[in-house]
Amino acid sequence: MLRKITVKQFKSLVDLDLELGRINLFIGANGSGKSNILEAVGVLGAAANGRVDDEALLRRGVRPGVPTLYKSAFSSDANPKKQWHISLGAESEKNAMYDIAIWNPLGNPNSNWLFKTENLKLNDKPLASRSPRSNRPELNSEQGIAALKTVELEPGDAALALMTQLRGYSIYCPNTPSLRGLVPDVQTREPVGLAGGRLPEAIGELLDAAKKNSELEEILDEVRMLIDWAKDFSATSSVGVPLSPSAARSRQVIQFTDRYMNKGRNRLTGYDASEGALYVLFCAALALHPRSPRCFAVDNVDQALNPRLARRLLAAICRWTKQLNGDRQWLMTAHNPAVLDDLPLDDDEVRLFTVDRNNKGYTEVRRIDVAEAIQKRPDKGWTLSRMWMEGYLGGVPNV
Amino acid sequence: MSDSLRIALVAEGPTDRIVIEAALNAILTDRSFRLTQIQPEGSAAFGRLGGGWPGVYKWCKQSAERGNGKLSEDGILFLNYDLVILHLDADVAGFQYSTGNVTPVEDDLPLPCEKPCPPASDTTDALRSVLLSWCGETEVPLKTVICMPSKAPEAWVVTALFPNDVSVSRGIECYPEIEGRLAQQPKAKRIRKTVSDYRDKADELTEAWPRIATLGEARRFQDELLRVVSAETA
Repeated sequence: MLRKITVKQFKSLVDLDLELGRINLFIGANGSGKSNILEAVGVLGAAANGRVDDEALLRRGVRPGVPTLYKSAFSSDANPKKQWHISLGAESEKNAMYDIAIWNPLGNPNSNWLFKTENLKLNDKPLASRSPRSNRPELNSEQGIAALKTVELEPGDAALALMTQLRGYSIYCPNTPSLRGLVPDVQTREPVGLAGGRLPEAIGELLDAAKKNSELEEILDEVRMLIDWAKDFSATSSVGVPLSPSAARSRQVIQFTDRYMNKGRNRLTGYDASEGALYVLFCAALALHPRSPRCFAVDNVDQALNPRLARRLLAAICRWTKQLNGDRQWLMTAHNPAVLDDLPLDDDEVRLFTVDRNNKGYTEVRRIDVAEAIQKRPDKGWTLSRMWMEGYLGGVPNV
Repeated sequence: MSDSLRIALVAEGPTDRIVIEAALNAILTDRSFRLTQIQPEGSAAFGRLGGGWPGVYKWCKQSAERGNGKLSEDGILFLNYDLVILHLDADVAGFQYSTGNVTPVEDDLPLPCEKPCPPASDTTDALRSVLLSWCGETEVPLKTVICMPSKAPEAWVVTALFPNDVSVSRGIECYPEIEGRLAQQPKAKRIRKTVSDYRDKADELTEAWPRIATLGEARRFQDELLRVVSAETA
């Protein structure tokens, strides 16, 4: 698990140190820099895989950008050229650490970002490193050396685990057409693509796994509970299911059984179903599927969801992650205040961060101290969502 | 479409809602309705949120507070609803407040309040008074219906689905830990107390309502509901 991340000079993140938990929710105004935090980890993930280029960034759900946009360039900075590189780092709970400084000429950028420094350490012992002083001229600065070093590490090595988590990290941002199977997901992968492609297959695999796992079966019952208009859901071949001939057909589809309709006419596919149900299944697949990445981000996890459903879903994600997959780590952004009210923030592994920009435009991130919030709320009737909406937590726009 | 009865439900849990909705489908045959579960306001970060009977307690206290001490004066409750159903399992009569991490206030009648069973109504009468005390009331207010299956809605489920079960012949409204009977059925018939299994059986519960309504507390729920609905329609 990533316990700490550091970011310097990346977009609006001038100098950020963040202690992470297992579930990390970032709330803040539009444009405050929430997605930049998720992307910073994505860039580090690309580096951990050996190359930072547009293809590697897109693969992780990071928006590729020209160096002039990637590199912080604040007007208040007295010497905007003083640091030409972006610095990123991560530490695991098992004392493995990976950090990089990468750069790219602003005026004449390369297709690849170039490694300036790179360190992979375990318990402060260097396993792989490079720096301008120690660089041998033959080292290719487009290629990370830590990625090469990992081939020598034994399975179970904490440094290898950290690098594997970073490499597997992606930013998921599901959209309805991909979830419905109407358009192909450009970034497809197991169990689900970054835009939500392959959802029927993932749900089918999950249902199969539940047949041999009673704990998972019980959790899937909680998923059914979240889709209150349906009796059940399944994954099935698209052949023979009721689907408009003009709709694009994928090999498999999700099928819902509507609880209100007559038998024989009560089945509908993901093409026709409420999009909220698809977003719920998408999150369930990420939370529960055995082949989900260990560490990942979901941007706007609450999109398309009714506030009460969003609230229940976030609580369920926290519960499932703790119960079934203790080794899974979520970074999420959300905009719906209701999601705060079911978060089990008394668990230190569930962390809520507000994201704001200061007068210079720098993104600042603050973890909400629940004990302090309890102590300072005006009376017992105040909820966390109300405190956020009224501005007492920060993370709101000045509009 | 627009004349559907708008019903607010304060219930202990999601499977209870399914059972009550199935009952409503049987009882309100000539009237469409919209059932919405309402919940107490709160943040998990500031203390456990209301599931189970403590959630019903918390909701009642919040409603009474909005109504200057009485649920019946809670204006916002009837802004969008024609009536409210308060559900509480009769087995709550056997609990201490402390088991639900509830600190009772002065006007809350004491728990436990369990009486010898049979008859089930001695206990449910006592627990109804407790429930009403949470709401700042001494009588069931207008537009309010109490649903108090004895000892739990599973008594209704077993009656509907397994009419030959041993618990039915032994007085199911007083049968202890009735939930266990769901699993004590032949493998092909047994069900779990889960949303998916209950949803699967919801239509059967509705069809079997005449049999369920032979139970005292089910009949009381039906009669009180119809009385409130007819007053609402009049």
